Amino acid sequence: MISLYPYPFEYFRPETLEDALGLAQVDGMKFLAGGQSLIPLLNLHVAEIKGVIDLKQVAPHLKFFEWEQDQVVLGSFLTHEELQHSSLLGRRCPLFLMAASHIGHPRIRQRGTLGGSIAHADPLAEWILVMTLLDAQVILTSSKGRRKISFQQYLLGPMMTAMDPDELIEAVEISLPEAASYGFVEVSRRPGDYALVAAGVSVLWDQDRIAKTSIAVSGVSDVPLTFPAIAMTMCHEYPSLALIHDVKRAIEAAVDPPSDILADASYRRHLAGTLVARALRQAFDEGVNSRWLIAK
Amino acid sequence: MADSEMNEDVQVGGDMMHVPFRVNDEQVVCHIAGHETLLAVLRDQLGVTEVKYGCGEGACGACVVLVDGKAMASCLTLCASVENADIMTVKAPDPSGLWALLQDRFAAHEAAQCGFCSPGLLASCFALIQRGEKLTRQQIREALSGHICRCTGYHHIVDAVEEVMALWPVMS
Repeated sequence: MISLYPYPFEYFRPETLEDALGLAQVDGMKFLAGGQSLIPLLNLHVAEIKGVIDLKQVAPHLKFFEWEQDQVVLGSFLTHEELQHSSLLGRRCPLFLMAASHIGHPRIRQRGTLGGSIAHADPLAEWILVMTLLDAQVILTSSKGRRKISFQQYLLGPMMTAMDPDELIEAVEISLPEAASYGFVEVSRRPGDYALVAAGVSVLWDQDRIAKTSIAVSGVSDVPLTFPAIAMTMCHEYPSLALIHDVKRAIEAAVDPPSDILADASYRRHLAGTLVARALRQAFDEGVNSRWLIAK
Repeated sequence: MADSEMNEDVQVGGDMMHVPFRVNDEQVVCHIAGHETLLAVLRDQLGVTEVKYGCGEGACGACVVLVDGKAMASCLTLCASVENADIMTVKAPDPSGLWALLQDRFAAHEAAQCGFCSPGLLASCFALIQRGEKLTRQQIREALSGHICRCTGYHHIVDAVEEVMALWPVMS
């Protein structure tokens, strides 16, 4: 029987972050976090590398929530499960809970990490959509120093990022406006698969009117798309089903998805509009129920 | 020693290492290379063949073992990273009787047919039931969603797990 095991590579498990970053100077080295994306690639011989730098010992330093008034910094070693079940994060930004519940299955969520998913940069991954939607800041570190870039600058294409080979994702920084609500909807062939199409929205409120909206959709282009012009038309409006309907039509007109083995272009276009509409409905419902509207 | 030295020369991927861990309560030290997965070492070096190679992507659950009590896909675990860990499979010594109860109820409910998925499933069920939560059928399905069974259609598996979940707190 032929089993697909990885091609040979070296294994390092440094004790400190400095050592880990030092090892990354060597060509062909890859950081290993939860291994839920990297090791499948190695098992199936999609990737060949010189060695892995197992971050197991370094992990405790990269597993943190750093709260400030209007933002949170999420350590890259937080697992999907930790993000899904953090009640503080769930309260300030339920988007994380909504998105994480679509990632793989419980065993994958237990080991897979935020940083690993973002470094892997599969354009259909839930965190890639979330980070695009929130335009997170990615904090990268290497032995040359630390830098912070916006997610827009970070994601160059499918599985392509602006990270240098010796850089490590230390954390992502998310701004958390006080009066905001969110929606996240995904359709995949089986639960836990990568999305066919997924949509996320965030709505900032000014009393009972919409102050600002962001919309992001994955599965209709090679990376998740945002729709700033359509989002702009929603400013200063009251939430209504008519508004959702208009946005749905506008999204359907704006996307030009490819056809592939999983779905044809017209179905992906239909999903894009429908899922944005449902995500907006979630965000509107949550916004209307929330205290900043009731308190007016 | 001469043999192992020769092997080291053959290794493309760099240094061989000695990794101690426990398998079903037996202490072992495996002489491995960095790229070897726990699945590969268990099956090919230690002959622990109840652990199955399914998909290699962590999607099917056939290779699941307990690593320090946690269900993990051994195909996605590098052997070097389980140093000093406690690995358990469905053939682990069973003083508590939970493995036996699971196997018995799986058999009674015909929750195994070809049996390829069973060792991994049983390992996940073991971890699940030890956590002591009382789950609904829907929650059992969600908890076991990382396992693929092509024979039973899952109903029988959920039946078996539901029954063990009810029995175990009384028996243990």
